[in-house]
Amino acid sequence: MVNIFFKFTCCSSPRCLETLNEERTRIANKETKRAKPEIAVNKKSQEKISISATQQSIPLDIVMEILSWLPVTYVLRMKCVCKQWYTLTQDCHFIEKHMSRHRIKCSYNKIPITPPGNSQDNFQLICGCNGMLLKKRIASNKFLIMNNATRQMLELPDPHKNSFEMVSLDLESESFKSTIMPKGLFSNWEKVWALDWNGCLSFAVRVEEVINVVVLEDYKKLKWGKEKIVIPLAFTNSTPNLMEDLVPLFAQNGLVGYIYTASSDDVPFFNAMIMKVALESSSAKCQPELRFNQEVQTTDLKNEVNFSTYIANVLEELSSETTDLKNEVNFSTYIANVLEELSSEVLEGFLLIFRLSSNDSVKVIPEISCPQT
Amino acid sequence: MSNTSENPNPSSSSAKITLKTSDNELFEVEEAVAMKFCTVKQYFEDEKDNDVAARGSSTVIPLPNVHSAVLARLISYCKKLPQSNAVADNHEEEETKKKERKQYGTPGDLVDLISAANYLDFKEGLEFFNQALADHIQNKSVEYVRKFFGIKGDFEPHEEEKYREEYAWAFEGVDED
Repeated sequence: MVNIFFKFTCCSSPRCLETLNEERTRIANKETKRAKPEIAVNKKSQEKISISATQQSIPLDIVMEILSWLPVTYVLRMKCVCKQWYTLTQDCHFIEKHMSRHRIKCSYNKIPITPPGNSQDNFQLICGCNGMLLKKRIASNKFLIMNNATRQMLELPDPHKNSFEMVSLDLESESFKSTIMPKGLFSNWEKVWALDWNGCLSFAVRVEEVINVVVLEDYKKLKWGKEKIVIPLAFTNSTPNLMEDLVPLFAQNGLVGYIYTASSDDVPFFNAMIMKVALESSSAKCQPELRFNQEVQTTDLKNEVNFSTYIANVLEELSSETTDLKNEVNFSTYIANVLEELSSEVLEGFLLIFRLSSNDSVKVIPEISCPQT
Repeated sequence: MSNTSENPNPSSSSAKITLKTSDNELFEVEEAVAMKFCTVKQYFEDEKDNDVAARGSSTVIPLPNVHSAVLARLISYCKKLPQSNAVADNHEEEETKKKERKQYGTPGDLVDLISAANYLDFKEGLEFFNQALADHIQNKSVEYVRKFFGIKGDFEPHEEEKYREEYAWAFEGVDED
């Protein structure tokens, strides 16, 4: 029973719901003792579930509602009431509901550092956000992320500075995976971005007036697509300045989202832009169609990586055609926000931390460590 | 926290609806109150031919699953509906809210209220009473909660022991049953 209620957990929801429904039916069928007249409580499913003063059988969806109002500590306690409740409180719907009801009240610099268990280690607090703390174990120089509410910790892998390596967090197993990147994928890694390609992780590099994309087609088998996909950048012809700082964020169903800097009275600001592109077309010159172009608020942003997750959120809100992205982002921002601090302030070896990819309900947040020249 | 003031003129033009409980008690309530119960609202929508206002108090809606004692409490809750069910930011405010929630009866009563609110599809009420029950079980022992919900613990003793050890701090300072 490790990894309970780690907030970056996302269990595959359909399965969980099925279990819940089965359990619900089971309870309904099981009920035989009746001290009071029967009260139908589950109107929607037309099930009749009896309630008695001594044996208070409340439908599972109501139990979930009740538990969602409990502070985290008590949720953790209630997990050992029975297996059904344990499963229930692991369910991502429950976690989402719980999170929506309890604002994270802690401010990280006020929290005393209490190493859990029998650990003798001393920690140095680096930063915190969304209730997660980034700490450094002083003795070993290892970094870890701690969920302050559940006091769970996740140790971060060391950056490997001498190889092309992708480190990803598998949200299903809540463990880090490390993979050496295929050789010769790109000649110059400095201009490579991680890109969300229809929910899959991909890497993009700009080559003159196009962006070349290589997609991780199968996350579990770490199978990379053989063909490079080409995104035309023909629209930058009219505004050459765009070429310099255009960063692709996602590509979904023919829509590609970018951010770029612009300036007004010498004050730089960020713009978000969504283009519709015909990727099937062989001509890289075909004119992409502008769907959205607008300045985005940058008030609460600390750096570009955080920024990219934020932008992705903004873009989704603004573009109804990319709504599918939303859930993905919500899960990933949680840890991405913590990791981004790590990347910018602590481990220089991590160049890119970006959002996730998903394949068969597995979600990853990739980082790339590159050789420093 | 301003309670919604009661209608100063109960015999005003607002339509009344009569609800009939499981124990055959009749409750005459304002339409605005009755319409908070989606089940009741649905009843009217299902019979769209008839104008609700015109029919007024001549309509009696049977609620075979709700006891009069429970309905009375629900209606009194409707009349002073709190502004928001959201968890308050500061401690004092949350304590005030908790006290307010405590007024609606024993934990057993709350279960009845929850069942009725669920049956009536009364969202705010359901949230409110769920919260009230959560307040009640909040710092109780696992054993108490099992008994209260009629649940048998089904973890292997060693599994449960291990969990309790791992999260020992979550089991500290338990209230008495």
